[in-house]
Amino acid sequence: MVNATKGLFISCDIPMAQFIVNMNASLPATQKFIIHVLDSTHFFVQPDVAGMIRSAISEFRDQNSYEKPT
Amino acid sequence: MPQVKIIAKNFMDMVASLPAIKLDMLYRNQFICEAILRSLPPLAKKCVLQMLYIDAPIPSKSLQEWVLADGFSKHNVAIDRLVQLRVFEVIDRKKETTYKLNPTFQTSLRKHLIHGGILPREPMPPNVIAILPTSEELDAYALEQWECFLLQLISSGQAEKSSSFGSSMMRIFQRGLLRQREKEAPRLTESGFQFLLMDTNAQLWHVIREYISNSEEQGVDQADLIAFLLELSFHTTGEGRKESWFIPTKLATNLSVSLADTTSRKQGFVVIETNFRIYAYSSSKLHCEILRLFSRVEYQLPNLIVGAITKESLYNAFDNGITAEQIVTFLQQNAHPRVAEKVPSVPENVTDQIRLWESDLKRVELTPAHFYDEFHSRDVFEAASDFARMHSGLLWEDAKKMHMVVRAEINMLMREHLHGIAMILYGIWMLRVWQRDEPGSSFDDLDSTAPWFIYTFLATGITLCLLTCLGHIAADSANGFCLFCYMVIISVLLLIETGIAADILLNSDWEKDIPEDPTGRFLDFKEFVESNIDIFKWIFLIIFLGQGLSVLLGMALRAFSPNQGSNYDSDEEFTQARLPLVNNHAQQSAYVIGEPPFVNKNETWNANK
Repeated sequence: MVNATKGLFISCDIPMAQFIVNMNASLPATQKFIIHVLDSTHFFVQPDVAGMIRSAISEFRDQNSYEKPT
Repeated sequence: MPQVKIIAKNFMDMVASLPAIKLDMLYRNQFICEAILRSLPPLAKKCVLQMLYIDAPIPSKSLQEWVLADGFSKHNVAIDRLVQLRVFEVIDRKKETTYKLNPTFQTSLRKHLIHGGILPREPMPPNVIAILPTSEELDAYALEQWECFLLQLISSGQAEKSSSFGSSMMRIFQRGLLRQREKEAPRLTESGFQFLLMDTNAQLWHVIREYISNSEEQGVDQADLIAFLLELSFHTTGEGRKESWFIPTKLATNLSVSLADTTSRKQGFVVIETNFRIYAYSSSKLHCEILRLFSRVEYQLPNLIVGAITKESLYNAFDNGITAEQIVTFLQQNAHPRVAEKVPSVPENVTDQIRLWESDLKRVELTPAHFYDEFHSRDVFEAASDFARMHSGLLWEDAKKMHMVVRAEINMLMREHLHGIAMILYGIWMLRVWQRDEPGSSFDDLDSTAPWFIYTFLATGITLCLLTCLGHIAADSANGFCLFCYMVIISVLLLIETGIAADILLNSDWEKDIPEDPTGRFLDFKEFVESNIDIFKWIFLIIFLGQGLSVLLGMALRAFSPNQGSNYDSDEEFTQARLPLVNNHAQQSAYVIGEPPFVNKNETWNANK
């Protein structure tokens, strides 16, 4: 019969998708969070990694910014 | 100016929520009728004016003839608004609905048309005339007070001393705009920041709305307050009234003007250039603070504030809850007259870049959801995906592999629906097998050899599907009738279940009550149950206990929190109820359906609390 899995659905653009796949690959096997890779812009992941993904993305974004020293 | 319209509409929503008696009393006042007329959407205004002198009710079809075909949706919106404000009275006859203008409203508006709109004023005694302030002084005073109030809002985030406003009034106005954490100074909330960037009229309406919602606690009647405020807005600036001689300023008179959604241009002061630098020709502290919200202020000269919009300053603003649209609208509305004539008043590269920076923060969307796979057949998959699409819960699907992702909120409904679909399909399959095995019998041959078992099975499946739809509609719209139907159907099903269970348990000859089943499926099922009677006894006991407990819990929750509908609880106990009665699958896979809802019952209960 039908199988239902609970989790988080991620929808993003292709560069961010690669970033998430990379992050997943760099984690040890017990902490890997991607359950299914649906296509190049959608993932299905464990439900409790939302905060971790968001903080990793904002860290990545901050590395790209330059603030003029005042 | 969409912002003002939204806020004014909120005020009108508050008016519309008054009880009918008070609304009728309000409509006796001509000026209130005019204010309400001004706030209506244009089509509604047209309808009201056309029906002003018609006394007989008009069928809704004739009303629709006044509109072209592509305006039907706006027409319906207008009619809904009118009915909501009780300006239109609906008379439902058997074949068609007819509308009639509220008679009190009608007479007041007619009088207003005929006699004109001058408020009765008493002539002022000469000693008062001498001390009347001039209009410039009035404007300056109004501006100063308003700026003071807004600065109070910003600077209470920095804990400075308060101004001359009454402290209780300040608390009322700041409710929802300020948030106070323990041991910290009060901080502005998201809506607080958005409030600061709004147009003055929108801010005024918001404040008035807060004041009115708070008036109930003070013991002042809402209707009287609304009447007073609306009447106040019709005075012209600078004229006094009666004994206590209050003089309405521009702020007040603009209230009713803003209802009609016309823009009142005040002098802009901001010049923004294509190199992202801002020059604000103003000496007001308030303007400086507002600019500091989203830009980096670099210098402040006696009449000029110089700053720049940077990515960091914008990220700061976005963290505080301000949206890019609000910033762009603020810049456009406050553009200095020199640049205001240019099209566009804010350079496109600046607006585009602000929006791009905002969307950069939203690159990844996370939605809690459930992943469905291992569908047995394509029909089940398609039916399930149609159901999910209908309830706008389908997030992703792959038709080839038969996988789909569905929002977490409709997961319960999906499960029930899947049960229903599975039962329907199984029933159809059984029917086909039976017809194949007995080629002689036709549909005329019903009576006792009819495969009642299959038909009951099919009927239950269909009822289950319909019930999920009904439950979803009832939960969404909170329509009393839908909820009532839902409850009735569930109680009927529960009664049938109890009846059959009692019959089986108490009556040893129960098999004689049930007509003969030609398919033999029922016999198979009976043998299966009897061979595993121990397990089944425990399962049935647990399920009945579960049902009883959930009913009790539902009643207890309802007693403690009257807002909670019993829909969700009954959804779950319903899932439990159906399973034992209809656990008629001869296959072992029946248990797979049975188990997950049983296991998830506890988690979903906790989630629902």
